[in-house]
Amino acid sequence: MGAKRKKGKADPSAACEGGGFEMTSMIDVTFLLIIFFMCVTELADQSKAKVELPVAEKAEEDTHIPGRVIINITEKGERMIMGQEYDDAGLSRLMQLEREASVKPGDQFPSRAILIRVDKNTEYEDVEHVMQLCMENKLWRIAFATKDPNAPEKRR
Amino acid sequence: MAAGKSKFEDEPASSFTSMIDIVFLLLIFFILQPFKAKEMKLVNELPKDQGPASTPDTRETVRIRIVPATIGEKAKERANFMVNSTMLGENYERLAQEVRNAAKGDSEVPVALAPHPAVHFVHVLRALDQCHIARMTKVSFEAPPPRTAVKK
Repeated sequence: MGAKRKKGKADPSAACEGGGFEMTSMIDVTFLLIIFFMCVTELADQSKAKVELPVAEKAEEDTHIPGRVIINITEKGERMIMGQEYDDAGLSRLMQLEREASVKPGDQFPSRAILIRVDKNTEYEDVEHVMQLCMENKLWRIAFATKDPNAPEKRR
Repeated sequence: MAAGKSKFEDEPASSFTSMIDIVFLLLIFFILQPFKAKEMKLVNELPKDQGPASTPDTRETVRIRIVPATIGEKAKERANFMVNSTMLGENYERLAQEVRNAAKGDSEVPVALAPHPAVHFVHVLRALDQCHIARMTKVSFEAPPPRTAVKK
């Protein structure tokens, strides 16, 4: 990657010989690191299971909220959180914890919405069940994850 | 210019290898960018128990029924939409207009979504999206029958 220099040519780093560095190589390495970390963070995000999200026109951009519960409902109706499948009891326990974390003292309602990522081919019955659990645990604000309508279609 | 030196020797060095390196890196970066799919969200409120002190809404609720298609190819993947007693068929794009008509232009009229349990979620979200397009502010899901069996 280093620049080859011909004999007798002016060396830009000659002024600080020994301690100088090539900017080009530096930019090279920086870009490589950026691409590496972008790919790694995308692949290591366990909170989002592989589901095919539906598209909505009026959806708003989702911002990352640290500590927020993300429930994934797969096509078969499995409820996955951080790569683990949850039953009703487990989901209820987690929702209670979420409620404690999201309701500020003196408030009645949670400050943040619980994110539900549902596969577009999941039967509504499975989604309704999770929504009912949310209501039982007084988590009234829910948000359904959708795909960006402007995002290009992934080739299969 | 010193005598004996060629014209090219005084020009600053241009390293093509590094240049190509950076160009390729930028190419990879922009090729990978679309794969980092941005996610959106559609926020909705679930019905709350507001207590006896709250005043019940006297306005007539607009009811949207979503039922799976029964005939034709891939019937399970398709759905029919119905606003009160108006059948729209599979044309969900007319839903926003129909909801606005049924609410007589009042965006505060409660809208209740009543999807069939077997209907695919994509149709439910489409109906919810159309309600947002129609600028309806009180959209809720119709309460399901009481739960009996515990799902594993």
